[in-house]
This record gives sequence, structure tokens and C-alpha cells, in this order.
Amino acid sequence: MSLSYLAYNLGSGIGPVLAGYLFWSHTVWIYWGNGIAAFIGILVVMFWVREPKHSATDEYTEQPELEKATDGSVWQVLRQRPRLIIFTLLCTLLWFALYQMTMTTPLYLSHIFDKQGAVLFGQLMTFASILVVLITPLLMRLTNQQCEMKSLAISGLLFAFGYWVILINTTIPMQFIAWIFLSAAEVLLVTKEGVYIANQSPSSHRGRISGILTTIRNLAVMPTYVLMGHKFSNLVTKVHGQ
Amino acid sequence: MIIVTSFIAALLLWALSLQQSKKQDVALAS
Repeated sequence: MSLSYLAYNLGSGIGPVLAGYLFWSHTVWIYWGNGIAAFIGILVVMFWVREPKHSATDEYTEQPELEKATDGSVWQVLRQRPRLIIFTLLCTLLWFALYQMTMTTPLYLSHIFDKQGAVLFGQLMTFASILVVLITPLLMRLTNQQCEMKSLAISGLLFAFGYWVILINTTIPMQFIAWIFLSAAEVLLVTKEGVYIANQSPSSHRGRISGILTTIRNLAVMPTYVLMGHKFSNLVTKVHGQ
Repeated sequence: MIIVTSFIAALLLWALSLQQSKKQDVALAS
């Protein structure tokens, strides 16, 4: 999980830089590059990624009790394990905090720094991409022996602290310092949530449970975009007295 | 609002992890 996240962030860090160089003189190659990268990804998954087959004998293997393959629909499994739903709803709150990094932050920075806000946001995004690649192995090592839920609780505290720093100090260096905490929180959330769900799901239903829980989370987060846009609009109106 | 939400999520997750470890201890003891 952390390895795929690491690869994703490496791509997110390198991609925009390459696109920036190609944008004016070789625009066509941005799209060719996207297509070729996606095609290589498909080939890798097609030929080298294997899904283990599940059978009735799975229950006699060395797998932990919670991960043993079971029969029945995904809804029956979720009914038997309500903690997965509770866990997802709590993680939704963290995802709400995470999405504000890319939704409320550009609005906030434009409000504070005017035209410089967009440039600063771009710099913060690149900074976060590099930081995530550097700190992911470190955080994985530090939280290796810790249960996933405690790591996610720490992620929540880091989000709260990061946004608090952004709120109390509006200087540019402090924005970067705040994003160190926010990036660490992001790493813990993205890596540990999937691990917990995988550990608590039967191997036969892992993909389906993960898909359903992701859908529940996205549905729950959806209205928050409208809510935060509305809140921010009210705040700007109050400040400018219009 | 974001700070409060993150903080509440952290507290609830911590409480859930404590409850889960208690359950595991009871299961091991029995």
C-alpha cells in the first residue's frame, strides 16, 4: 500500500514538471506520454499481477481469522463487521480534512496573498509531492508496530495542528511548515486506511468491501464541497463587507 | 471547522482502537 502510494507520488511529482517543459513547444507529447504511461501500466498489471485463487480449503490455512475467505454477499459480511462501516465514517472526517488541502487552500491563499496565492499554491503542491516521497518510508518504519487506528488518530491530530498553524500565522514560510504536518497526515491516512480494511476483510471479499467503503466515503464527502464553498464565500463577504 | 473535525476524528479513532485492544485482551484471557 505504501509502495503504491510512493509510486503514485513520484509520478505526481515528476509528471507536472515534465508537462511544464513540454507545454509550449511539444504539447502533443504530453498526451502521447499520458497514453504510453497508461498503456505500460495496463501491460504490467496484465502480465505480472496475479490474484490468488480462493477455495474452501482457505479456512485451514495460516491466514488470520478475520481474513479467511467466507461465503455470502458483501452486505452480509459488512453486517457481520459493523466496525468497518464505523471506521469508514470516521476516516471520512479525515478525508474531508485532506480534501481541504486542494480545495480550500487555493481559495484561502488567493484571499491572503492575492495573485501570489496561485504561485504559492503550486509551490506548496510540489513541496508536498517531494515531501511525501521522502517521509513515507520513514513514517512506515515509525508506525510499523502500531495499530492502524492509532496511526489514523495521529493523522487526525496532525491535520488539526497543520490547519491551526495555517490559521494563526499567515506568513509564507509558515505555510510550508504547516504543509509538513499536513503531508505527514496525508501519508498516514492514505496508507493505513487501506491496510486496516484489508486486515479486517475476508480475502474473498476484500476488493468488493474496499470498493463499497470508498463509495460510501465519497458520497459522504461530496456535500462538503458545497458546504465549504458556501462557508468561504460567507467569510469573504464578511471580511470585505459586501 | 476543519480543525475541530480532524480533532474529533482523532479522538474517536483513538477510542475505537482502545476498545478494540480491550476486546482482544478479553478474547486472549478467555
